[in-house]
Amino acid sequence: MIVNKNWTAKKSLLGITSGLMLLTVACGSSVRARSESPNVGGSTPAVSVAARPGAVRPGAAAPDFTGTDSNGQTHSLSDFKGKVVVLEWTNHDCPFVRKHYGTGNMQQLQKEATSKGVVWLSVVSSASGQQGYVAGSQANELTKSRSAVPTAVILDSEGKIGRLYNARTTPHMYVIGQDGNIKYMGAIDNIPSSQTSDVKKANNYVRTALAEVLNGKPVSTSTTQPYGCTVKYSG
Amino acid sequence: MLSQLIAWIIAIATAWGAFSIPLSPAWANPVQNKVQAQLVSEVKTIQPGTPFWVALHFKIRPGWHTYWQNPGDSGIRPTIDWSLPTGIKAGEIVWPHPERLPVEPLMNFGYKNEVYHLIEIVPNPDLSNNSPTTLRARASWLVCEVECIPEEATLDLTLPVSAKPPLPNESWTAAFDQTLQAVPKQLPWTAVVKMNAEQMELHVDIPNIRAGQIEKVTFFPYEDGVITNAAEQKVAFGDDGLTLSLERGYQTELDTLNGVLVIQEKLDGQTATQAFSIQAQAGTAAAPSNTASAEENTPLWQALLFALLGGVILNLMPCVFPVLSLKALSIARTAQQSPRQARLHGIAFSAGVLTSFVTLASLLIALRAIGQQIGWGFQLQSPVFVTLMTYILFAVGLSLSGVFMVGSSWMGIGQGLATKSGYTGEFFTGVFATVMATPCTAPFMATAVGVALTQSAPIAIAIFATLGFGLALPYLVLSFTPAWRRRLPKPGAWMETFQQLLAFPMYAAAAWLIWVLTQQTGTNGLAAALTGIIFISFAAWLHQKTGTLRSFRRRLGLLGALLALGAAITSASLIGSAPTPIQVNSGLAWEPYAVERLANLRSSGKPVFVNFTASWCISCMVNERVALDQPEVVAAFQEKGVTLLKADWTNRNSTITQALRTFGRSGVPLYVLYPSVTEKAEPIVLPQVLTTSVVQQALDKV
Repeated sequence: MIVNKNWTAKKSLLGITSGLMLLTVACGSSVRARSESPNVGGSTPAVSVAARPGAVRPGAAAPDFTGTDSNGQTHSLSDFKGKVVVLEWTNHDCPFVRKHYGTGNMQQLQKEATSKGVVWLSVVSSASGQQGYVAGSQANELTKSRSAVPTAVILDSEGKIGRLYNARTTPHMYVIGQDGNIKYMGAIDNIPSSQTSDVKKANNYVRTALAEVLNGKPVSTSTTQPYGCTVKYSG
Repeated sequence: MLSQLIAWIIAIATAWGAFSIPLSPAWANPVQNKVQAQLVSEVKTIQPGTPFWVALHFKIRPGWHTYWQNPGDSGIRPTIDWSLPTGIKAGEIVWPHPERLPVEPLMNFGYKNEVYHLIEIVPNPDLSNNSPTTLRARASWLVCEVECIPEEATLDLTLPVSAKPPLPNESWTAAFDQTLQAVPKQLPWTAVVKMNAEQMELHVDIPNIRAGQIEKVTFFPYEDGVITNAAEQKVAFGDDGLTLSLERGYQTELDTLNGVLVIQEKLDGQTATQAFSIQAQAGTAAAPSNTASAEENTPLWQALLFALLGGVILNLMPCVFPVLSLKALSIARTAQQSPRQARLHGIAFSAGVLTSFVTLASLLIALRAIGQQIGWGFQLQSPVFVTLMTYILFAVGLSLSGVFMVGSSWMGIGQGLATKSGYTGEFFTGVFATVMATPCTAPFMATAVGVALTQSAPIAIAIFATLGFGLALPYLVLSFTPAWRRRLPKPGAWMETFQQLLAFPMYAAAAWLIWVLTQQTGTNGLAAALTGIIFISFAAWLHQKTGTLRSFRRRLGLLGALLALGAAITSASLIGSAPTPIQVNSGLAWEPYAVERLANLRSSGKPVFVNFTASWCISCMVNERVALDQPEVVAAFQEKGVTLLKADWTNRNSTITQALRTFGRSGVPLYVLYPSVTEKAEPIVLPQVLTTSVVQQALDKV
């Protein structure tokens, strides 16, 4: 008898307690709403690079890549170990690239560099159908007509090398030292405009960096914000 | 006569000419260009010594865009080369906040459709006020769709100089107001940033933030390489503010994070965008502690091990120890129990514990799924829950002290154990043990729970189940090993003393919870909880007293006890709705909103301004800073003798909800100006985004 009475009371109170606990857990908590929510309007994550973009920075090792040039030959960065390498992202129709080629500035820079044993690779990462895309023969024609003297013109229409280096603009310049590390990355000079008259007035970062690297000196300006047209990657 | 007429005509023509010159500056760049640019002014005349704003106005062809001061991954910002007459100086461009412009896989920051770049013009006080002056701007910019086109224009703006205060140019007032809204204001809260090699976490302390109001948070750095521009920016909301996760860029040495934070807030019927300028100091922590990254590195087996250990240690916590130790001792009494029965009892108990933990885990996951940001310990954020747990702990303590005997069979001290119904009893004891465990945490438990909450539902439930298993393990082991059972001390009179002794850890746990409650709700909460405890003690005593009486009286006694319990619980719920104190703005004296007060003021013919606000409403705060607290508005309020009422809806009380509804609104902010009764009777409702001119114009009508 006593057991049963104890039972009923016990059960009811237990029921009430458990019920109350779960209720307050559900309703009474002063919780804050919404955990992590993405902000960018629904689009796919924009950066899809093999190495993380943050990994390409001055002082870090330049990621190795293999590309085909305008003559069908393959080149790898590791082929040029021990040499200074300049990577120049380009798009011949971009007004900013035209500013440097039109004034002969880029060709002059290429001549100075290659005469000192520097390997100069012009890279075209424009996707097929986009501004700046060129087939091998067209690229050779442009090199000839513009009197450019790069060591090779790498055709990167899939954008693999561009994304690897997080190349954003044309022109976007990278100077890689003999030790394989990135010595300079960024703009070609310090006046971000498309006015040809600015070329002479500007301080050319690439020329300065090359001089410092070839003389074994530390690079004074190792990174700047690049300017130019956006690299026309495949969507 | 004729000469008089001619003089009049000339006078009118001159006046017309003088006033029409600045009204519609010519568009530069006819339609075939992608951007139509013009230079516009907010004033029609220049007063020497009085600075004013002009704007470089772009109308951008749809699909094309121009750039912000930091254009992002590519692009170039507009620049202005000024040719100004002597005595006039122009400042730098003041930029309204940009939007993100994705260019797969890169990201730019800039403007689409239309933008006004603000520039402050400062005329010298000794400027001659005879002839109109011309400001000439050579603007150049880059406009892109996929391809980019550099464009430029030479823009002129001619304004007369006059000694009188400058007249506003009405055709551009709205544009200037809107643009000033979009220009970043100084962040009114503290912001800190924690960095590690790859990530940054920007934390902004916004008290009482209601995340449901906020739709989007975006950060725009002033410099390149600070963040990976294209990376997603995830925002998380906590008690004290928001945390924005940013992926770092190529800059390695950063000690401050400078840029613009844009918060989009959902208001009644519209979305308000607020832009703040941020300089966040870097915190010293190398790894952000709140992200899942640390916990993701804990392998599953480790998390399960920690859960098991945590559960076992939970047995020793003061909330749980009395219950379970008495339970364990009760086994020793059951010498007549077969080993099989003992084992089944152990399993039933474990089942009760496991079920409760799994239920708790499911609840946590369900709440997270519907969007609540919670972690273990969330239940302790609610004053109502804390009070109820205090009552439960106190009641169990009373039971152990012997004030009333309802709980005795739970501990197994009673006679119920030998019966078959003992199995369900065991199950419920397991549930009860879990209930008792919830206010307490154990070492290792925190890590395990932390991992659980970052994982998918099945893994989370598995971790919680392991936790429960750990809690049940000692008892389970005891029920399975008769040898150990025999080692337990034999029951005797000492057990009663022991039981009464164990009441004290219970009281201690209840006292700790009351301390937590006082932290949360202040002395009001303390008073309510103590009153509740008195009711509980009364209920317990009443129950015990009427236990020996005949049925009717017993039922009455039980009823009385339950009523007292009800009163206790009601006082618990009262704690939850403690009103928050109202802040007094500097320069303005706000009275708390009350329907009678409003009615009184209106019947006495005084104009009233009611500000419906909440401390978690960002737009409300911005409006106060940008408009209501401004000296000209304060002066205007005082001049018109307006009484200011503040309806603080932070805790969503029903009076204010009703008032909002009468204006057809379901949320804040709402600004209502009641004119003095002698004039119009209709209250004036101001827009949700305030500027000083909007408020002043409304006050002019009073």
